[in-house]
Amino acid sequence: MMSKFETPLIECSNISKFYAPERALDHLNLTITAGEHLLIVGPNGSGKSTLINIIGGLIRPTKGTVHINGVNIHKASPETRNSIGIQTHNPFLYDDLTGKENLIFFGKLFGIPDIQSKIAETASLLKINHILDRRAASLSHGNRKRLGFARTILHNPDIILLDEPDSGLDSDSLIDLRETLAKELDNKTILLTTHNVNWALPLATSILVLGNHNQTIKMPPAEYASLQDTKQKL
Amino acid sequence: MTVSIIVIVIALLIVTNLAIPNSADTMFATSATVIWLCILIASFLVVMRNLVIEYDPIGFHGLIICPVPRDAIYLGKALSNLIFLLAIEAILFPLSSILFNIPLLTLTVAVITVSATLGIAAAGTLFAAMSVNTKAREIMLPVLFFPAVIPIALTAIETTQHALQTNYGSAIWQDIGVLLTLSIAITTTSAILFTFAIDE
Amino acid sequence: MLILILIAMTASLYLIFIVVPTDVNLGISQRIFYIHVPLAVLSLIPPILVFATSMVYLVKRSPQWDAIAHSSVEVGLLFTTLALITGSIWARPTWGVWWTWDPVLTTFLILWLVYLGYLLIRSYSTDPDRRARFSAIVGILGSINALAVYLASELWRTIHPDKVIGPTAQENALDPSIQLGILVSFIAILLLFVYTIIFRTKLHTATDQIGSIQTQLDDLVHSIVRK
Repeated sequence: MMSKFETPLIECSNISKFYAPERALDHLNLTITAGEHLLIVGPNGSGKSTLINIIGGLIRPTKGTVHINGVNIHKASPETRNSIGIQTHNPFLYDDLTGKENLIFFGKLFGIPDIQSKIAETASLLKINHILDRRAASLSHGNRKRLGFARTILHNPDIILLDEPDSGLDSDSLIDLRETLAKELDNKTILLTTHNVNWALPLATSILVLGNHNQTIKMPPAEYASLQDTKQKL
Repeated sequence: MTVSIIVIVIALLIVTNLAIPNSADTMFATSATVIWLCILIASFLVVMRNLVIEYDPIGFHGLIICPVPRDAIYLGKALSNLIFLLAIEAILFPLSSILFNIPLLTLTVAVITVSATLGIAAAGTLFAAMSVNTKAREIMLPVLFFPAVIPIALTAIETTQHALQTNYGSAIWQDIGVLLTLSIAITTTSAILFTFAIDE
Repeated sequence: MLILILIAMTASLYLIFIVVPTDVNLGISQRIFYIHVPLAVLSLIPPILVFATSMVYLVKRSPQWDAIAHSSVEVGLLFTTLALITGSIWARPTWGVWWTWDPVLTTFLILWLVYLGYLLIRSYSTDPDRRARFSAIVGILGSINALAVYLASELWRTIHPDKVIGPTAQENALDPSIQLGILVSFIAILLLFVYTIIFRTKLHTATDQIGSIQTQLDDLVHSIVRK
């Protein structure tokens, strides 16, 4: 499916999110260029999921704006969602529908032509053919995540946002997922959060570290790796 | 789910039929009341069920990630609620016709029912949308839903009573006009307000 | 303003208990009529206020309008409660029952429920923006129900006394001193109504302002700490 945006460019200005009295995010500024693979790391509660959800347009920041290709994502018309694929920590699926029915439902809402072949193609890519005929409610957490991932990339978005896509996956699936992200989806703009940095590091072109006191630093992977080495030595 | 709602509705019909004394002059009043009570409860259950499937920390998560206009989401949800309710009424009315021995299967009653159900489904969908995100969901929906639909229900009950009386004549269409106006007002308002309800 | 209310109230009480003639049929208990009617009539103003201010809030998103809507509902709840209670007190000697399912009474009860729902949804929402939005929605729909209230009382049979005051009243239905009594009572309660709404609005606005100052202070502290 053709995307409307040639080179997705994400600009976050002064993003703050308060869950009174806590501040999940505080005056965060971030720029992401097209094709960048940004890995977001940080301790629990540092606001990784909140950031992904805000950039994906799922929740509104208390202050600040997110512009994707110059368009304010929270004020834009729903058509802008065509270029974004987002998967949250718990992928939302309709429990009473099977995997395939879920994909058909969302596929239709995204206006994907020839939905059946697209589903077949994605299912083979992600090796989830065996779960397509099972009710979503009966799937394990890991399988739900894989199905959710299929739903996320089904409409071929230019921007892919993933919140801990690796959680709940077994080692084989982890390798498969990384391969898919590295090869099939290499030209996309990807933002992902994870606790498993070693798994994700080879994918990243840059890393955003969120600290607990709302400090944020963006750095290239090499710098991060050397920081980790230094930490190890200490 | 439809089956369980029908079971509840039939159980209510039986209880009320046995418990409430039915003399000839109160027959119409009682039956109209009982039927609409059943519809109110069925509406609440239908709306609640339609809400439960959307439960997520982020309200309407599945639908807001898709490039669909918010109005379309409202229309879809409201329409599905309406169709479900009409299906339940399609069973309830013939059944009540038999159990209460009253002429329910007439054009006027059908028009009354559709008009009132429209308003109930519309308001219910809006409140469900507001409740999906609130902390005390199970408490909020009834608190919002029932006071809001009581005026429609009251008007529907009165109008149904009048429709059942054979001597009421063409004045019934005036009453139906009032009901329809109220219903349309509530439907339109709910549709407009829905965007504000999910505008996170 | 308060002094004016005090004067008006005293005048009205004087009129009610001393000047106005005792009703032939109902006796002394009829005097609560002079309190009940203004309360009931004024209870119908909050829905209009809430409707208007809620709509403006949804468009402009300025907290001031939300504060006015909130106060209107609070005052509306108070006045409706008092109207229902005074109505009951009047009903007992007059109709022989504390309550009857007369359409007007029923719909006042519904109005009471709508107000309660409004305040409940405010108490369950934590995020101020969502709280204001949801209250506005409930306020708008609730006011439409109030309109249905009025329609119901007009259309369906009622044992409520025919209206003897106002545009649809019958001419010369009452003794002039009774009319004066009602008028003064109405003015007194109207003043109280207006004063309470203004007072509560100021209170809510001030609370909001304190909240935002606190947030700004927090912001400042955080930015200093970061440096």
